[in-house]
Amino acid sequence: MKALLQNIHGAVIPIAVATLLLALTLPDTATAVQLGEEQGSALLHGSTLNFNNTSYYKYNLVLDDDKDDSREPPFPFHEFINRTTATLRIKRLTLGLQMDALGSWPGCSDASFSEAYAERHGDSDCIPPNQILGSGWEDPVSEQFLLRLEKAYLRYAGKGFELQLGDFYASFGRGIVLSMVKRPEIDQDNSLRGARFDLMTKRLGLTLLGGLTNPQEISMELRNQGIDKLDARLLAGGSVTVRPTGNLNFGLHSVGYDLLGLPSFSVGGTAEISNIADVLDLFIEGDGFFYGQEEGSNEDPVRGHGIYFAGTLYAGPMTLLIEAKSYRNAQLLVQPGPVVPLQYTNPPSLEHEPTITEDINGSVQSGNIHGLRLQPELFFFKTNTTLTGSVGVALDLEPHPPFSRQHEFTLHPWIAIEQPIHLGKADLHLVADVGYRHDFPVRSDQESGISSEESQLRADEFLSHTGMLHYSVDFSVTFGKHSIELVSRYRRHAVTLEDEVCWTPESGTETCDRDDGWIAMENALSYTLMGKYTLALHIDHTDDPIVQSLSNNGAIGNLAYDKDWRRSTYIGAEVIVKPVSNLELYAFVGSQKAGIVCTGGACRTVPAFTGVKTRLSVNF
Amino acid sequence: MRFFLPLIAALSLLSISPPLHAGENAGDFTLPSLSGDNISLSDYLGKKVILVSFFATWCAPCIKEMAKLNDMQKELGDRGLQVLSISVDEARDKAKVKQLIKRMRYTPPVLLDSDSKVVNSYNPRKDMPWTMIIGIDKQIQHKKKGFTEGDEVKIREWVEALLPKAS
Repeated sequence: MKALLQNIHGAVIPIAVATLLLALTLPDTATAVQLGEEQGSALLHGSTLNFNNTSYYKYNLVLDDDKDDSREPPFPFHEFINRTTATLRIKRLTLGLQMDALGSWPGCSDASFSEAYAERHGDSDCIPPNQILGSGWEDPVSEQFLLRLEKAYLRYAGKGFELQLGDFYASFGRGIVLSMVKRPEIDQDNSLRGARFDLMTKRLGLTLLGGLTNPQEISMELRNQGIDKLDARLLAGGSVTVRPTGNLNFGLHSVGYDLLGLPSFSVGGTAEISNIADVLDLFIEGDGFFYGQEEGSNEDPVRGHGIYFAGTLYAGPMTLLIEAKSYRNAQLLVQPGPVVPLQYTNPPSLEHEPTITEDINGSVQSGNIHGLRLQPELFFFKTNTTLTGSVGVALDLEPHPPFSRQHEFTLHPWIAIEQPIHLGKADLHLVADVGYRHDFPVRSDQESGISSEESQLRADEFLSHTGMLHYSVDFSVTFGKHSIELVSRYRRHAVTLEDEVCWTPESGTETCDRDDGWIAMENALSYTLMGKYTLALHIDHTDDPIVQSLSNNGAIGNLAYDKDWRRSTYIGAEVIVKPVSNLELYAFVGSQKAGIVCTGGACRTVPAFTGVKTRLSVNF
Repeated sequence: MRFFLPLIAALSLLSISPPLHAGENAGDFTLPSLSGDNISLSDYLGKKVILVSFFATWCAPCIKEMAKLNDMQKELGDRGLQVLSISVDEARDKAKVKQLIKRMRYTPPVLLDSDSKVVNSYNPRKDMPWTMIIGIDKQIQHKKKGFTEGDEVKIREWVEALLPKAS
């Protein structure tokens, strides 16, 4: 901590304090710029400019928490990230822009850093400290300053139709066909840059779109993040939905794309019947995938399909959700690349999603899978209690190295409870779940289309079982202006090894284990006063080899399966101040692992970080 | 570092700019609802006080807020309040959204923004939950991020101040 404080530039703290003090004096009034309000005949009369600016300052410091380890931690560095979004509405026309900027220092052009680097690494080429990326990233951004117009769109919203030029997302059906990378809750996205037309009438819906894929380049939290190394590739498609009656909905869609460098297309349809006897909803989607082929190739063209079914039964206090899916070569839309935690949407997942946040190598992330899930939910009126149970089974026919190249049969039961309680002036709220997933190995038959080496690897591989025990608890107490919340999540992964494995990390102490599992736990205790001031403490711990961690071998996204990973405990504190509705000040000190954090009544997913970060968010 | 100090200072100054006008014009949008109909903001704009709430099934604070909004709609609906809840869940999660709504006996219309069209426009940082209150004058009068128990008191105060006085 001492080193951390010494390295913070002296000017930042006074500015932050001054900002805080000045902000506290602001009147509590929502603000906006009303262009041309005083001039009734002006072009911009009645227009609105909405402006949002968020800036982060981060001081990244990797603490040397293992004195026995001779490796020195990566060099510390500063970061400044700014996102400005502006929306100008002129009657039915909207212009939206998002401008992102990122800066980091010191770099190799900085004399003092170059000297320090040379002292540690000798004559080897200088690598800037912000380039401490994990394996898997191909061309990390190493510039010290980036400015990008990340999003820009022009939209005209007519009566019953919309035309948009610029950036937009899209999903058809339940998302099997157009599985563009999009996780809005974690600030990662991949939109299209092109044109989109939507027609919406009472009985008919039509969507036409075309454009180039447009991955977000600068993320507010994840520096140097090229989302999936997807080049700008052409994609065009359309969908028609018809609703002959209020509870019937049929759709057809087709998408052509060049994501793999080979023109491919998919075509599919959906059918939805809602409110059957007021107790049943049914939905089914089926899609065929037709992948392009190299010129002159003698192999059979790759075909695939995706079928998804969901049925929901509402019977008084009980609801029963039944989901089934059958995919074969269903997810070749995205160019193969490094495994990135917290990344992909997985059109329809059968999983309990919080449990897989950091375990995407599990069978749920498969394009070759057949599965079924039942989720009954029971609500007790008298006590306001909700009990949820779920059991999912799946046969995963896709290898997931480095954990397993074998096929797996997965069984995953879990239960959950939600219980609000009123006790006098206090409100208590409990949300908790517990479950266990087991992956049974299934020796695969010889598959066509794989190399002889891969085939031999699979034939020789030990059939390992893997399992995951998980629980989470979210407990909050509110009395008057005070609110306290405790969030605790735990996952225990177990992998059964064929033999006892021994290894000697650089600390020199040999370690042997047959159980090559790991745990991941996150705990957050937060106190909020009047909904405006939040203080939160975090204690996380993991020895997960794939978790994102700055201290985990010095990488954001230590994506290689590495025996030398560091077991790490992360302790941090954050303060959130919302003096007025259009301003938020945020400060974090300490260390945190990647994952979902819910404090101060809002949830977000944070990356691995060690150091100090502050954020100023202004909206007017 | 010196390069960024002016920028940080400028951003700090932004936060002390005096408020220009109360309110912001609410732009129209149309989204499919959970019940299958298309619903537009303009169906209610200028006729009712509209409380728009963005939520997701994975967001626990959102569900807490929705329980309070459900009560508020029942109590203040006759006086001119219209709650519109917008789910930002992905299309694949529609069944989960409906299951939640049925279980909560949630009565306000629930719109599905699975393409993030509306949330990108109003809440580009996609904070959840995120609430805005639009007056009968079509102006956005309040915006609020997050929800902790007790916040419903403030939200109700904001809404009641915009509603026509009870006779």
